[in-house]
Amino acid sequence: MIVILCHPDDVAALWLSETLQQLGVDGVELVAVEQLAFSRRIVYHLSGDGDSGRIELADGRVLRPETISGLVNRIQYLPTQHFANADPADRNYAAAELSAFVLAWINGVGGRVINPALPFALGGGGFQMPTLVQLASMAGLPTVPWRASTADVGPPEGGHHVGPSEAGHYFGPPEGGPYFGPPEGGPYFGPPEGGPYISTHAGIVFDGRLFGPLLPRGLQDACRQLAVLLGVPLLQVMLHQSPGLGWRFVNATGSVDFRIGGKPLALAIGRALARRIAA
Amino acid sequence: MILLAGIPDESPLALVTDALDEIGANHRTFDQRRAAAADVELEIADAAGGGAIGGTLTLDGERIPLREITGMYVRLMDDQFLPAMAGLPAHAAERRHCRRVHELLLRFADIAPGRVLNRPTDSGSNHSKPFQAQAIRAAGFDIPDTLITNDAGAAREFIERAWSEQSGVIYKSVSGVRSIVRRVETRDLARLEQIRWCPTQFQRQVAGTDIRVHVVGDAAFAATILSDATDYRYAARDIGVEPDVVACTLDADVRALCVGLARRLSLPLAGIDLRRTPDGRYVCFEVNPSPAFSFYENRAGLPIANGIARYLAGEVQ
Repeated sequence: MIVILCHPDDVAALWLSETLQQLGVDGVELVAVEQLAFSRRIVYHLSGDGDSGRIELADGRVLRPETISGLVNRIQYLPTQHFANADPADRNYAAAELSAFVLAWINGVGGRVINPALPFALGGGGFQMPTLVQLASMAGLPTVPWRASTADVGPPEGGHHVGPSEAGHYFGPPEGGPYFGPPEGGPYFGPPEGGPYISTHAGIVFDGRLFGPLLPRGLQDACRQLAVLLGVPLLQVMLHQSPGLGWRFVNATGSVDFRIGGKPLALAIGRALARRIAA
Repeated sequence: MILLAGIPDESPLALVTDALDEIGANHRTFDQRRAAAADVELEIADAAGGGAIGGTLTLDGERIPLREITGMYVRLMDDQFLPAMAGLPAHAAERRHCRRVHELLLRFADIAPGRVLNRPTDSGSNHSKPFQAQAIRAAGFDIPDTLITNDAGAAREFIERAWSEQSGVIYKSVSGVRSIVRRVETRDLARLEQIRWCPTQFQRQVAGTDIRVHVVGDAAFAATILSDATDYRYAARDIGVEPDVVACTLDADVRALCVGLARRLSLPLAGIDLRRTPDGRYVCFEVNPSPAFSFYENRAGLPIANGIARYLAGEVQ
């Protein structure tokens, strides 16, 4: 069984599921994160011999860690509406418990997990901008200086995050160039109104291969090297190109848009996850 | 220069401060309670500059170049609970400044080129005890038989089987929140249906002697703990008797497993909870990435703070 664990509106994951099936990959199961969080029954054993157990979903499907040959992890958040009636302290506790369980459950899957869950990022592949810029520079990507200061006017801090959250921004490109602000959010930034033409490019690294639109050879190597330095097999690298400024590294994420890599990427993922491909 | 971050009179931080003084190491302390008098500028150079880290930390008017910081001991409490912040509204300027100081210091600690005990991103494994147990098992230690379930029937079966084999069962949080260990008693069976709302962790109790190991780099400091309490950390409260904590020497293979486990978790400083069973096995329960080692240092006379100071100063691996 190959599980694609995603939110119902994750069009990239839905595309991957459909494409894998078109490519003849057997046993692809689309599981909504909501189905996992609201599952009917959880029984999970850990011992010196390994992990076993079952999660029974409301639609009758059963997930067993030892029978999952591959899992594509696309969790952005864990829904906790079922704790809504608890008092805030209990609600937060229950949410932490559920998150801690899901982290271990994904980690305990017998097969390969693409985007292994991390303690600070259940969906894996979330990187801090200072780390990204530093490693992108080391990888040879065309970065611009990054700076953050307590003197900056930061984003509103409505909630509180003990874990990592972004702060800081790129210095804008050289004088006269556009300023994009924090390179957060989606992978695509359109050119600012009235600014010079800037095109956005994305390359996806998977298992050391680069997928997506053709990039110059030096950038291809640098994208692959960034994935190595980050220690991840799957990475989407976003770049800007403009006539005046050349190439600029913008951001990178493990939450990739599979459509950019097209069928060749889907096939590579299918081969990596499936024990057998029908055709 | 070595940077300490936390509450200066909190025992572990105070002990490390004293130890750094004793070895003559140059150090500064970021006092969380004085975050209002602190500023941070963090800079990453472009590709031509090789992504070098720059910027400054300002503490009470003293500007410290971040590149001069060669070691960090990070023992920050959650800044939202600092007394000066607790009563402020979420958008208060002081609170936002305090948050940003912490945020930037944590980001720096993640990428600082020197020795950091411990990097924040690497300190998350004990947010999930079963996730950590998987790493513990992979490092070569035994782990307790564990059931996580929201099914009362499965929990009852697990508990009654253990009881039938003269073993106890404990329950504790799956996450790092409300992390207190409790023994399952007969009266608890009547409320098992409550776990339907949230998966709950049950573990078969392991008989034996508690051992706490503090790993600092390649060094390991061990102590045995003798107590009749289910969770010796709360022995004074639960049974009215403080535990006995005595320094001990680990077998070389167990010591190597401890150092290897800490390394696997990318934690050069770790507090590892072991239990040596009557048949000589070592079962590992969890790894604390920010251990309150003063409890063990003060009772068992272990030179843990000295070990931390020397590690931060680069005197030992």
